[in-house]
Amino acid sequence: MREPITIHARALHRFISSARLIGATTLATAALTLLASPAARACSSCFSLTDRGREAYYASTVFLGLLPFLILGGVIFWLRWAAKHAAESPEGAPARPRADTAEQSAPS
Amino acid sequence: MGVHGPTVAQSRPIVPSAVLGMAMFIATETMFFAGLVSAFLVLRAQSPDWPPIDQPRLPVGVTGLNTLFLLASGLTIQRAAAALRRGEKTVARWLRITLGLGVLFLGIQGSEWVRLVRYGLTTWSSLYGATFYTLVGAHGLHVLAAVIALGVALRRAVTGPVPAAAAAWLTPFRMYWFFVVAVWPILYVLVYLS
Repeated sequence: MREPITIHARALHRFISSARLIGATTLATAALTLLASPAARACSSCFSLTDRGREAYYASTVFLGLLPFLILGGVIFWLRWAAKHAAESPEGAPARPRADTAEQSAPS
Repeated sequence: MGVHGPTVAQSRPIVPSAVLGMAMFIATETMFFAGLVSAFLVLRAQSPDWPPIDQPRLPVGVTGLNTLFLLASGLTIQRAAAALRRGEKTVARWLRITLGLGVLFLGIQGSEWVRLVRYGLTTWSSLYGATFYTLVGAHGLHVLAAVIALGVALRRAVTGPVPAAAAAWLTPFRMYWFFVVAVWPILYVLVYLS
C-alpha cells in the first residue's frame, strides 16, 4: 500500500518534469525578459545615471565579468609553464619508486 | 615492470603550496581592487565636477615622489631574492631597505592624509572624499600589512641566519609585495592624475 504523500510527490514530479511545462516556462521567461528589460536594469542607480555614467557602468560590468576569466587563464597558463619548466629542468620529474610501494609489491 | 613490481612516480608539486596559495590570494585581491576601481569610475563619470569645486586638490607631486619610493621597494625586494638565490649575505640588508621604503611610503601617505583632513577632505565631506579614502586607504592597509609581515620576519631572523629563514617565505611574500607595488601606479593615475 502506497503512502498518500508519495503519490502526491510523484504526481508533482511528473508535472514539473513534463516537457510541456518546461517549454512554457522557458518561453514565458524569455518573453518577460524581452518585454521588461528596459525597466529592469540590474543597477539600482541606473535610472538616475547620465549617459556617461551609464557607459562607465556597462564598461565596468564587462571588465568585472571578464577579469575572473583572465585571472583563471593566467593561473592555468602559469601552472602549465611551471610544469613544463619542471619537466625540462635536470632535477625535474624524479620518477623514482617509493620505498613503501616497492616493499609491498615485492614477491614474498 | 621490474623485480619489485610497478614503480610509482613520487609526486612532487610543480609549484610550492605557499606560492600557489599566495597566487590565489592575489587573485581575490585583484578582484577586490577591480571592484573598488569600477565603483570609483562609475561614480566619477556620473559626477558633473570631478574633483568637486569646494574640495581640496590632491598632492600630485609629493605622491608622485612617493610612488617612486614604492617602485624602488619592488626593486630592492627583487635584489633580496637574487641575493638569496646566489647565497650572498646581503639578503637582510636589501630586505631592511625594502622595509624602510615601505615605512617611508606609509609615512608620507599618512602626513598627506592629515593635511587633507585639515583642509576639509574627509570621508563624509563628499563622494570624492569617500572614494579617495576608500581606494587609497585600502591600498595603504595592504602596504601596512606587508610592512608588518616583513618587520616580524626580519625580527625573527635576527636570531638565526637570514637566508635560511627567508628561503621559505620570501617567494610568496615577494609576490604579495609586487602586487601591492603594481596596484599603486594604477591608483595614482586614476585618483590623482585623471
